[in-house]
Amino acid sequence: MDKILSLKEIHYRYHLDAPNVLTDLSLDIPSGKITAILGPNGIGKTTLLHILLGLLKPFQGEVAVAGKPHREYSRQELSQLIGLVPQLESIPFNFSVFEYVLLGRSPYLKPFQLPGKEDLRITEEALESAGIYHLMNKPVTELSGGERQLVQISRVLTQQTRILLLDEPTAHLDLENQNRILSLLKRMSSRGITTVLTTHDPNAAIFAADHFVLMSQGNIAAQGGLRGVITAENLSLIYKTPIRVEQTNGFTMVVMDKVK
Amino acid sequence: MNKKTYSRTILILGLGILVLLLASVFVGRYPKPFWLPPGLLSQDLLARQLVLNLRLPRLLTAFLLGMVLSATGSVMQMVFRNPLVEPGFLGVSQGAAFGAAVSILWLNRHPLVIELSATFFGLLALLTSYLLSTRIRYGGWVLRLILSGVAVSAFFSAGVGVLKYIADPLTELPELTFWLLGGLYSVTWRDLLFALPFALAGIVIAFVMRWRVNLLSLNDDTAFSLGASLTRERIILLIVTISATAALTAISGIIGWVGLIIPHISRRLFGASAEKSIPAAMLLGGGFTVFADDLARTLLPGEIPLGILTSAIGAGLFIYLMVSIGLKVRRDG
Amino acid sequence: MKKVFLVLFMVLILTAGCSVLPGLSSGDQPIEFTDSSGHVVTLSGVPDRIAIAGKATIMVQDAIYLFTEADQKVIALENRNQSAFSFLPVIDPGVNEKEIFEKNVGPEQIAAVQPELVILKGSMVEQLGEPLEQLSLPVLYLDLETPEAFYEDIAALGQVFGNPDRAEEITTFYQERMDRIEGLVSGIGEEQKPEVLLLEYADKGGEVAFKVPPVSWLQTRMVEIAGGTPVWKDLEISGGWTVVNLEQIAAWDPDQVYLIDYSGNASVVKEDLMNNPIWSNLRAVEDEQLYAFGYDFYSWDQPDTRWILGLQWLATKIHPDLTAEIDIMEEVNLFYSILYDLDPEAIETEILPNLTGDLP
Repeated sequence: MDKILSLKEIHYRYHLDAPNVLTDLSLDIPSGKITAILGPNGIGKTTLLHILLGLLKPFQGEVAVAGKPHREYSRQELSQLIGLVPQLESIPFNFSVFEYVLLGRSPYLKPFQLPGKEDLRITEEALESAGIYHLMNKPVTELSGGERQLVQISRVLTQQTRILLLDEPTAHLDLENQNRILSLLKRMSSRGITTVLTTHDPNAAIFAADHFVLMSQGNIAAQGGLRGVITAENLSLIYKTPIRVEQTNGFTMVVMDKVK
Repeated sequence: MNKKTYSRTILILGLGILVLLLASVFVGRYPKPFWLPPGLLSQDLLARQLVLNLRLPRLLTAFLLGMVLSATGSVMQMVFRNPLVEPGFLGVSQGAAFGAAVSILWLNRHPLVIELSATFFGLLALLTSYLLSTRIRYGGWVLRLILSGVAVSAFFSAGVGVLKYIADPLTELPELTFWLLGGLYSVTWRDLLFALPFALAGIVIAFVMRWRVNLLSLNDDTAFSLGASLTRERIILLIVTISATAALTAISGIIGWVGLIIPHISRRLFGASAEKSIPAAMLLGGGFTVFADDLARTLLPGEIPLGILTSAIGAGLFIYLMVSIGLKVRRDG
Repeated sequence: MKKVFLVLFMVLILTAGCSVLPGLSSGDQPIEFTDSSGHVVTLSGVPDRIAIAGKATIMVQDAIYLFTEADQKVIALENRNQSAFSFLPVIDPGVNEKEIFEKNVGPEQIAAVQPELVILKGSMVEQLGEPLEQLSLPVLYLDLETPEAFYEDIAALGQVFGNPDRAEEITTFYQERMDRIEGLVSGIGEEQKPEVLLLEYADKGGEVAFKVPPVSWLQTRMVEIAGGTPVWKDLEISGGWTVVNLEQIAAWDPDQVYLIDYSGNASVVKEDLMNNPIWSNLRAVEDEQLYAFGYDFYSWDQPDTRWILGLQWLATKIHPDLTAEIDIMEEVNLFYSILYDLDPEAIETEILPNLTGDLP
C-alpha cells in the first residue's frame, strides 16, 4: 500500500496555553483509496484534515505529502495537489454556480490572469460530472444543502487534484443526496484519486470507504480495513455509547444499541 | 451575465460616462445657470479660464474620487465578506482627515506632505483596527474587525474635532463641516496631480486583481486550499486601495455612501463576481460622483456639500433598487 | 424648649443662606426692563459685578465698553480667541487681572465668580442663559444684529449702568451718521445703484473658500443702506456664510467686489487676486473695483460696534461722488474718542497702526 500522505508523531494545540488536541498521532493515508476518519464531534477530525492540507502546522512531528514535507512545495504546487471541501462554506455573495465552480481553476492561474477558454471548458465538464450542469446560472444562495455539496465537489473537480480532503461531506444531507455524493466519490476513486473524508456517521463511511481510521482522545484508536476496525467494541469505546455491528447479506451496518 | 452581454453593457456604460463628462464641462453657473454655450469658449477669455482651471480639474477629481471609492468599497466588501463595509468603516476616512489636519497644523501645508500624512494616518487607522480586533475575544474575525473599526473611526473623528477646537478658529483648519460633509470647491490642478499616483495605484490594483478578489472572499480554508496567500494578498489589496482613498479624502473631505452603495448596485446589475462587478463599479462610481458634483456646484448659487448629495441620491437609489422587483441580475446563460 | 431651639436654628440657617447670595448695593432702586429679545431683566439695583460669556463675546464686549463704567463693573470675561485680547487692554488696562474664563465656560464656573448680572449674546439662551437663570442669576441678552436691535441694546445697557444719558449719546452718534448716509443716497434710482458683492475669504489649510453672508444679516443690510444692490439677494440659504464658487461670482458679474478677511489679511488677498489669471479677468477687477474691507483690530463688517465705520466706509466706496463730505479718518478719530474715550495720543499709537484695508 503506497502512502501518499503520512503523519508521524504529531502534536497539535491551538495556542500555547491550551491543552493538546492531537497527541503523538501517526497516520498513513493509502494512495488511490477512500479513507474515512471516524470519531465523535469535537475530537479533532477537522484539525487533522487541516494539518493534512498544510493550513495548520503541528508544533511537533512530521507531515509528508508524497514523501516530501509541505514546505518543499510551492503554494501553487500544493493547491494543484490537494483539494478541500470544507464542512460549512458560507458564501455571503450570490455568485452563480458557474462563477463559483470556476474558482477551482485558481491554482492554474497566475496572479493577474483571468480564466481562459480551457478553464471554462473544464468547469463545464466538472458540472456535468457532478450532475448539476442545469444549475449553472443559479445563484449559490438559492441552492439546497445537497446541491451545495455537489457544487463544492464540482469545484474541487475543476481543481484536478490527486488528493481530495472532505470534511463531513454528508452531514445535513438526506439519503438521496448522501448516496449521490458518496457514489460520485467512489467513481472518482476508481480513477485513481486519493480521498480522505471525515464523518461522524459510520454507515456513510462503510458505504464509501476502503480504509478506516478511528479517532479517540487526540489519537488514533484503530486503523485498517472494515473487518478489523468497525467492531462493536471499538465503536462503543470511541462513541461512548453502546453500538452493535450487524452483518446482513455481506452488508455491514452499524446501529445504536439500547443503553443498559 | 455572459461575456458578450457584459462587454456590450460595459461599452455602453463607458460611452455614457464619457458623454456625461463632456456635458459636465459645459454645465455650471457661468454665464448663467446651467449651460455654457460651447461657442462662448472662443470669445470669452474668462469662460475659457473657468473651464480649464476650475471645471476641468474639479470634474476629473470627482471622477477619480468616485472610481477610487467604488474600487475600495468593492474590494473591502469582498475581502471582509460583508456587504456593509465601506472605506469609512475601518476608520480610514476619519484617519485620513485627521492626518490631513495634523499636517496642516503642525507639519507642512505642501500638498504632497498633506497627502502623505493623510495616507499614513489612514493606514494607521486600518492597522489599529486590525490590531484591536485581534484582542477582542468573541465573534468571527469579520465581526471583530468591524467592531474595532467603529471604535477607531470614532476615535479619529473625535481627534479631528479636538484639533479643530484647539486650532485658532480664524486660520489653519478647514471647517469641520468641510471634513464631515466634503466638497470639491477648492480643487486645483495641483491637488489633482498629487493625488493622481495614489489614485491610479488603487484603481489599477483593484482592476488587475479583480478575479483574485473572488477567491479572497471565500472561507479561509477553502481559499488556502486553492492556493491563495491570504494574508499577503489581502494586505496588498487593502493597503493600496485604502491609500488611494486616504489621498483623495485629503482633498475632498469625507464623502460617504459612494463606497458602500455603488458596489451593491454594480453587483446587482452585473453579478456578484468581482471580475465583472469591480470594473463596472468603478465606472458607475465615477459617473455618479461627477453627476453629484455637477449638482453640488450648479443647482444653487451657493455650494452644496458633496457628501450631502452623495448620501441623498445614493440612499434613494439604494432603496429603489432593493425594493424593485424588476431589476434582477441578467442571466442569459 | 426643643421647638424654640429648632426655630432659632432655622432662622440662623436662613440668615446664613441669605448672606451667601451676591451682595447687592443696599439702598438701590430695583430695576426692571425688557431687553431687545423680549426677555425681562430684573435687578435689585445697579449691578457692580458683571460677567460676559458665550459666543460672539467680541461684539458683546465692545458694546458694553461703550460705557465708561464698564471697566469698573466687568469682573469676568470669556477668552474665546486671542485676537479679542489685543483690543481690550487698550480700553481696559486692568483687563488681564480680571477673571478670565476658559473658552466654552459652563454656568457653574460663571456662578462661582458671583456675578450680579451676566450679559450674553441672544444665541446663548439654551446653552447658558437658561441654566444661569436656574441658578437665580439675572441675564441680559444683546442682539446687535440690526441697527434697530442695536439701539435697543444700548438702551438696555444704559439701564444696567444707571446711565441713560450716555446711552442717548451713543445712540445719537450712530443715528446721526446713519441718517446722513441715507440722506446722501436717497435721491438715486435703482439703475444708479452699483451691483455689489461682499465676500468673506477663507484659506484654511489649503482649502480656499469664498463665502457670502445670509440675506438677513447686517452685512447685506449695510450694502443696501449704503446705496448698493447686493447681488446675492436671491440666495435663499440663510444659516451662515455660504460658499460660492468662482463661476457663480463670474456669473453675477458684479460692479464692485469687497473682500473681508477676519484674520486681517484682506489687503494681501486683494493683491493675490489681482494677479490671479482668472480673477484679473473679472470686470470688477479690471475696473479696479476690488476693495479690501476696512479693518482695525476687527473687521468693520460685523455686528460689532464698528459697524458704523463699516457702513460709512462702504458708502464712500460705493458712491464716492455723493459722499465726498465724509472723511473716514476723521470718523475713526471721532469713533474712538467719543465712544471709547481715547485721547488723540492713544488713538495715534494704538489704533492707527492697526488699520488695514482700502483706506484713504
